[in-house]
Amino acid sequence: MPRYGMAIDLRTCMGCAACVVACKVENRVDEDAFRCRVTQRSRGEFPNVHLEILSERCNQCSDAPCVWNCPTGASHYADGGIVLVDESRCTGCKACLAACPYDARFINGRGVAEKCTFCVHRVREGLEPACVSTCPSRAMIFGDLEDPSSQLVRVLGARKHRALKPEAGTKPNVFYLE
Amino acid sequence: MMPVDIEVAGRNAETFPVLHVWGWEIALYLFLGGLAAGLLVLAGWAHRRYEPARLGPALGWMGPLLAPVVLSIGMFALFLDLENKWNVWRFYTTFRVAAPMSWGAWILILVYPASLLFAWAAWSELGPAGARLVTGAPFPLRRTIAGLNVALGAALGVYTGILLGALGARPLWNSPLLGPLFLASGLSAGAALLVLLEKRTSGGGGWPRSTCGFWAPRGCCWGCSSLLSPPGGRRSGRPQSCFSAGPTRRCSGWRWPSPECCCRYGWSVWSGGGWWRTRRCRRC
Repeated sequence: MPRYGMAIDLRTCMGCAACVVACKVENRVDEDAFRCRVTQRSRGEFPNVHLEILSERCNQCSDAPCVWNCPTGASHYADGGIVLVDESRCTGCKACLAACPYDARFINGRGVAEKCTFCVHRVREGLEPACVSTCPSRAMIFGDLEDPSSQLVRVLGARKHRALKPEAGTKPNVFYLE
Repeated sequence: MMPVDIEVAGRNAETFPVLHVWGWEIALYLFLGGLAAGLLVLAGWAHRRYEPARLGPALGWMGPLLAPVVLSIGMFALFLDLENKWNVWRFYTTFRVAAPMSWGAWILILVYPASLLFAWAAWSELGPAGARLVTGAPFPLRRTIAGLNVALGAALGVYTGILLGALGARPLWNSPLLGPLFLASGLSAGAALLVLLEKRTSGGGGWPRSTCGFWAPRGCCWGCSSLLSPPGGRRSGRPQSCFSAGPTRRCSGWRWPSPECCCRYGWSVWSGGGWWRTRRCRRC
């Protein structure tokens, strides 16, 4: 059983937001909504302060609060541990929006919760998510965290990395290489 | 020590999420649901403990009759909040043990008929006219119904707090204290309403109507707006709080504010939610 994850190299990411555009085009996201974003953070404590650019999206958490907070079972785990929303079950109650520590979800024009799906339709065909295949600096690596031979696992083993908001305890599967 | 974000910014602020999740519907429901829970628990307890003849009008029939009315308005507000209303029945095709909202949906569907039953049981306390119309339940049956309402009312009062308290993503809500706190505030709201009704009907004076009419809803709104984030539209508003360093939009001359903005400003001024924090929509 694969467990899909992603690593984003903070050394090579230049914050061009091509991932944001690729996602929007690939998934035909609503006009005023986005499934991913690029933020710019000042981190640290004076005088050890540094600026970093993060390409953020749903972390496809292994212990996702959006899944266990969903009252109808619309938010569920699909193959590869990807968190998906079953539109036929979603009532638009927004429990998942409130539960997500990463603010990765929004309500779309059809009144249901929408989020990054790791482009599950592409992944099932053996392709990479649109953001990964678009990234001009090849800063994003997509792969199976359970497969020791995958590039993702090798990179995570070799480089220092961290996830966002580990204190939320959701076991996120998107990592940032420092 | 873990590094702390000093600021979060970006040149593409339009991609940032809107952090405002629930609107006035949920604030209204939280208040009315708590009030109904308080009424059911207190009136139910009184009906279990004492013979109907010893109860005043407030506990005798006003509380039991008001509870389903209040609950109906609250549940309607809850329904209005759903973005995909056609799927509301999906709450009742499953039960998710880990989801407090699923517990809430099932508690509501149980407490609503129970409160109607209680209203029917207490109907004969309405006086001769009421007794002619509908004969209330006999005393032992009424005690059973009242006990049922105490249990379900308490569940109704607690679950909302647990729901918000279980949201680890919202640190200020994330506390196990929230469940008991919501029950306590529901009980105090119910008690306040019962005292008010009792005083007015027993000729004991009570507070002047104008004072209650002005301060009671205002107080509720203050409470609600401090609980929920400041007002702002999901679609028209721009992201709030954390992601504050977006592009600044300059006003290009005076324009009449749109009706939406008037409502939003009006609401924030009236509720004391901080009109200075209210953003304007794109059009004005």
